[in-house]
Amino acid sequence: MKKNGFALVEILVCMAVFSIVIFAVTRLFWVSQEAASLGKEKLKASGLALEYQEGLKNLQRSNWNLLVNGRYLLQDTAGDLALIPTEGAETLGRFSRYLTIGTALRDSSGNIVSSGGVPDQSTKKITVNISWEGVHPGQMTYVSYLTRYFENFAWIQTMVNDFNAGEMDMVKIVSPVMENGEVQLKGGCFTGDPESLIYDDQLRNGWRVNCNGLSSLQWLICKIIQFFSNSTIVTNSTEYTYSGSSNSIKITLRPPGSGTAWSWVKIYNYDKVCTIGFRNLHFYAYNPSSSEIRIWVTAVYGQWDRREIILAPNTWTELSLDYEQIGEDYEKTLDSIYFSKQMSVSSPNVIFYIDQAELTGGVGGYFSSGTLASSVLDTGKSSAFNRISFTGSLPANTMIGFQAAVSNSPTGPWLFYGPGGTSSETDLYSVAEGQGLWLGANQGRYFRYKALLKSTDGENTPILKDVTINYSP
Amino acid sequence: MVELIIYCGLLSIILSILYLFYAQIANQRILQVTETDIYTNGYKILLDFQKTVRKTSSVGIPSFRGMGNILSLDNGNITYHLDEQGRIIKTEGLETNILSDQKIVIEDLVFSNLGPSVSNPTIKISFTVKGVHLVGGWEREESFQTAVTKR
Repeated sequence: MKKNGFALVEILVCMAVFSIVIFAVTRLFWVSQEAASLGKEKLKASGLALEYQEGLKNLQRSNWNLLVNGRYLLQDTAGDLALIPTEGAETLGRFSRYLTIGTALRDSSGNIVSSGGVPDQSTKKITVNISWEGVHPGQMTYVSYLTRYFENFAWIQTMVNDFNAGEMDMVKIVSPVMENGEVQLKGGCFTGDPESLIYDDQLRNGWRVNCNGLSSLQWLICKIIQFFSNSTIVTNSTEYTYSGSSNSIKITLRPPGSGTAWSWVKIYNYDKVCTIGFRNLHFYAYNPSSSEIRIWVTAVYGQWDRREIILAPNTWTELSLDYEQIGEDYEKTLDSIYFSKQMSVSSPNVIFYIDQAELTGGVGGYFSSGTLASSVLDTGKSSAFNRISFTGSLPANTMIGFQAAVSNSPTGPWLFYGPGGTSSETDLYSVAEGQGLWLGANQGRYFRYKALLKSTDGENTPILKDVTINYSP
Repeated sequence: MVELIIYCGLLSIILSILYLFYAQIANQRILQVTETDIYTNGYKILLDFQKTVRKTSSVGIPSFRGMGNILSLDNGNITYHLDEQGRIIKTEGLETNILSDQKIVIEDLVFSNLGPSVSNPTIKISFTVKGVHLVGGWEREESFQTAVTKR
């Protein structure tokens, strides 16, 4: 009896084990089926997601501004893809899908981040959601980014007129080749071909009458000269022709109140033109009287160099005073030029005009810094400004940097920012190959840049040849 | 005697379970093979389509904003169409390739040339792949679609 009982129990145990094995094998088979099915569903989902992603590229190329943040279906409407705002989803058999467009965030290095960054107006985050039902339901999310790099525009500033349209402070525009312009710090002189010593550039650098330390009468005369010089010292002659007495500096040397004295006017080298190694003072002088005038021209460079000039009556005289040995050999720094004459109390006023004064020779004496604020770029509609790049030359101890400003009004306000989002003079775009503009202020209709040129020792000037702004209207 | 009956009963149960188990496995296996044929063919066609359209220089047929069952690219050098046996035929120059095999049939092949971008239209493909073997007395079919925007 005992043995028979054990036989039945053994069969029952055997069946139990068999059931467990069958269950395990079935489960394994089921999992295998599930995995295979899921793989197929994912493949199909990826094809549906790709359809949305590719369709958005079509819209991106057509009009970036169609990509507005929101939740959409992408549908064919009479042959054109269109974003249909929705709260639901598009159903395709057991699959359903929709997409969302959002703003991409970037950190200070330009990397896309999920939070904590700054919105990039030229990049959109595209999320396609696909879900499916059936025996093995599931869902997939596909994230991609679209960047507005198609059909961008470039605003290039390279011609003399481009730069001249801006606002300059202690910089000047020169034109070494045709009408291509270059921005340099003021001061210094050209070397080489004397013909390249342009009147305008020298005169723009400015000669300013200094009235400090003069007696009251001389101070008054000086102020009168200042009055003229402030408005007429720059002839703006672009044709190497002087414009006559109306555009010249009128100088009046008056006799002293008593006795005999030197009546003089000092023209101070305010803009440090050709300060080191100056070689020549060239100018025109006009004597409006009917008799000859003799006056002294004195260069002050730590020492004195006084020379007498004679102006014939009723005529313009071209004068060229050579200081080559002083300037080149001794590398003196020109401080000022005096026009003077020894006069007595009974002497008549001595009146003459000077025009197109220029100093040639020197190699140094640049201002330590200067700025060029560009003219206003009107893109016609709200645009994203992407990058700023430039070409130029940077001798030792010089630098060029930029800040950028956007506005929705042609008159500003113009708040210039560097890549760090500040207006500090040390926060500058200075990578010639180009830098992405600070995303905190890169959206608007109007744009300006400000170029900052620096020379730490004044011996050389940086040269800005062209500036390119990449933007997306 | 009683034990013998019990043994026979238990054996019958076990055999029934085994039969059902193997029948289910066999059915699933047929289904799996058929589905694999469908998906393999479907994705082979989609991948070829994506790769080809991405590098195409022009789309002739269907015309812009049009649709049809023939796709002609690169001034007619590359074409896709469906033959009478339900196979997708791709011609590239003088070379002809059959993109689908004999285990499936393609139906409802439609190409669309979608705007709004004229220079970079989106070419959409949609079709249905049908297995030639019946599974559990039913035809198995799956529809596929995707799109590629011309570069």
